[in-house]
Amino acid sequence: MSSVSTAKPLKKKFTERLKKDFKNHWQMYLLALPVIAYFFIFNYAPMFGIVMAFEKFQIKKGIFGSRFVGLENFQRFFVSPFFWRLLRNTLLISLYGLLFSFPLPIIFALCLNEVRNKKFKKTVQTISYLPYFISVVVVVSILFDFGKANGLITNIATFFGWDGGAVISSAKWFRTLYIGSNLWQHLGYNSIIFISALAAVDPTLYEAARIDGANRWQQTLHVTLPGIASTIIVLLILRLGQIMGVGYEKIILMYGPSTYETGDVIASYVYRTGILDADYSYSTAVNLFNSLVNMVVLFTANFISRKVNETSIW
Amino acid sequence: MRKKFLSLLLATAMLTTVFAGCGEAAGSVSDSSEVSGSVSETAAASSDSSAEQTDTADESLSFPKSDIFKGETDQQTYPLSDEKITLTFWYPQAGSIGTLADYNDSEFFQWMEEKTNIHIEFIVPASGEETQSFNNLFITGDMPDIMYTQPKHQVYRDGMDAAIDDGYIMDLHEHLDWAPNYVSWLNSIPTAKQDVFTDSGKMYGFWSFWDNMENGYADQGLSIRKDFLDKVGMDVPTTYDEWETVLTAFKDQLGIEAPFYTSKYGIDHGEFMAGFGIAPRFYQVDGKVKFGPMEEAYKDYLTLLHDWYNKGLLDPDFATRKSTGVAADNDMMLNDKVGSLIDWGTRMTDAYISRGATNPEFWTVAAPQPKLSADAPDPAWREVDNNYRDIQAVCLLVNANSEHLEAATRWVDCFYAQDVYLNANYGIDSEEGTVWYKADDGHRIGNYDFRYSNPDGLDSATVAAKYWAKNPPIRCEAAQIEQMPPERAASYAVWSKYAPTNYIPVTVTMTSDENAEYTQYYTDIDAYIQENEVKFINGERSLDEYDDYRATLIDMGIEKCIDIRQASLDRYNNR
Repeated sequence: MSSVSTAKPLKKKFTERLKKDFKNHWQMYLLALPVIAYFFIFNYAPMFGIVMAFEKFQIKKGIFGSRFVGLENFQRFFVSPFFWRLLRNTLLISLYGLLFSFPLPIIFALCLNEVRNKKFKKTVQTISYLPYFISVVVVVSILFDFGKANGLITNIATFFGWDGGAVISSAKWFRTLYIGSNLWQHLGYNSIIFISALAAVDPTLYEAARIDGANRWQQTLHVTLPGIASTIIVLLILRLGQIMGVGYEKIILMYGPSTYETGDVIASYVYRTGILDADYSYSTAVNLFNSLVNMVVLFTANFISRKVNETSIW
Repeated sequence: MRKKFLSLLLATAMLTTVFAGCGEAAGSVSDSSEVSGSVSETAAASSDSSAEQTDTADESLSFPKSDIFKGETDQQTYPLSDEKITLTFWYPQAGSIGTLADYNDSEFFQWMEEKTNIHIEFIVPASGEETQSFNNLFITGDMPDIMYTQPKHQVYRDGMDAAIDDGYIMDLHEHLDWAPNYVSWLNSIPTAKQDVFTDSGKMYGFWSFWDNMENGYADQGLSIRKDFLDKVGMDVPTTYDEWETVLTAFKDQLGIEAPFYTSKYGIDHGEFMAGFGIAPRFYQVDGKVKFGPMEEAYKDYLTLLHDWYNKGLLDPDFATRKSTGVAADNDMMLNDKVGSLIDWGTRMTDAYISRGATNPEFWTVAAPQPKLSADAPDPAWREVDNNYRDIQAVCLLVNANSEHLEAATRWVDCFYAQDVYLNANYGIDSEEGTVWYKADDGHRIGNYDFRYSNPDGLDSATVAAKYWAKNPPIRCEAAQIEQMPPERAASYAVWSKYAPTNYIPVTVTMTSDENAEYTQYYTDIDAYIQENEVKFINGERSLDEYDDYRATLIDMGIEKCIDIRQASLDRYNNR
């Protein structure tokens, strides 16, 4: 890739340069082919279906034959009584999720990094990412069991003054349980990338810092953190890119009529209208709106990051 | 270096886009899981079959004459095909398969294959995913030859007429010569004409019937633990006040966790609320469509449930129960945590014992629908999805593009012949003396002990799946009742005490445009109602706000929905 961008002085036509590059590095292109094909077949080709969002789609008439209705489907969503609630729930679950589940794996990785006993460190790490391999269905059943009227979590909450009955069927608890269980499940696994980034920090820097008289805390602050800062920022931007992308799987397993108020998100709404009610145009429009908001957030985050600390994903 | 994240980014961005467009089945839990087992278990309500036979009315609405009564003589010639052919059959009966691996392990279907020379490949969608699986059949272009559908839950989005017009479903009206046994049924049932045609005079598929509605009954209803009643020294309650007394006694004297078990919406199928003169959603009073939650009495009913919830008479965890309709959480039921519930007839005492209820005194009895007081008007509503008059809300469709159109049509038609449907309901001929036996006058009776204390140790559901066809197109009501000991069979009479005259038949159809407008409003309305009813019951929302709630429903378009339902019902009544 870099060879293309550095061949600046002789500014030939793109196709010509491509041809030449292909001749020299055709093996590389061959290697990349499956990936390109993958993205084209599974990500770009289906994007064509977005057209449905602007149609009154009928299965028989297909994408080409259905009547074009412009923004009607979007209008229907914007005036829907659920619009603001869906938007709010999606954003809040994401933001709270980001707030808790982004920094904690970093802190966890930093703590592990300070542990000197290798055996202990390995054990803790293994145990911490074990929950990642538990199916989300199982995790949700555990939540249901612990959250029912006389379940563990409800009893603990009651001990601290909660009097609303089963926490699992309370709208007030939905986000806490959703994010809390996510955290428990993903903390260890998400910290792996930071642990490996930490391993890549040059040991001589620590040596130099120690010679300069830095203690452990100062070493963390001035050597470790800057060392993994770019990883953190890139991952943060990627996370921001998913800000509207709360997955529907866990939500539809967890929510019920009593928790729609805080638990119903755009993805689960799309699932209900699109998959269950077969209202394809409308659900495509809703999801397209979701993706647009997502994209705006991503571009903004990337732009700010590039201005502020010159790290960005493109 | 950073560029390598570009691909990652692309992947992320794309994944969030258009998953609605691809026809992949997703998620394992769906809100419409009430579909799963309940067809099998509901039953016949006697209704005045008053509509007279109008043979000469409209030329397009007619079927050939037949002098054979209810398929008494099988008019197909066997085998149906000289060479072995394989048909695919979409059969959403995952909830009824018991421990069998495949419906081809069923003795009945093996017998059927031998007789017809047609092999059936069963496509059984996962329990709870029936509706989305059905929707997907139309998108993937991989439609089975025959589909077993419950039109209340599984219908082509633009309506029955459109399914035929768009070329997916065969118009049976054009191929009635392949279905002589079905025609004999249509001729035998006075009201058939009104139900089997769509508004535009097409025949959507093979509707299912009961063999005999003279003694119509419901096999779903209120069920209460008799052994608990005996312990607290009370009788089966008949009014809401008596219910409260009984439930309070269950709670205070026996410490029952869920004296009354409700579905996760807190609202039953209407069996319990009908005493208030209402129904859970749409119903009709003398041809006028009404909507339960808009009625004043509905608020009264919610007030009662809220009161009971506060007193601990309802299941405290009702909102998290997976069950959306009838029947309780199995573990709760078997462990004596449930005092009363709405249940299916086939799940009563002996079925629970075959499932592992260990309490030797375990005994449930049927309770009639409660009334406000002894002399209050009779309840006029209950879930009779599977039986309005003789017809059941089950329709077998034939794929219009099937490679074996004729064979598929004839195969379904076989089920309307007496020798086939008797085998389907009771067990095949060669099982006489084990699965069924002959009464003195020669008619068949199912072997109750074989089903509920099976010599091979099979549970009752597996016995049903293995020895007969679950919910065949002609269902013999006697197969359900007659085999039972008198005290079990009595429950059907208790549940059928009041006629469900307010029910809107499932064969009422909307036009494609009506369908589109209706779903646009009603999908959101239904979700809003489910959510708020739970809140009204558990007190998160005060019932003082009920008028605001109704105003919101009007804003959301409930009146348009009622109008549409009214228009479609009027057309039905004029058919």
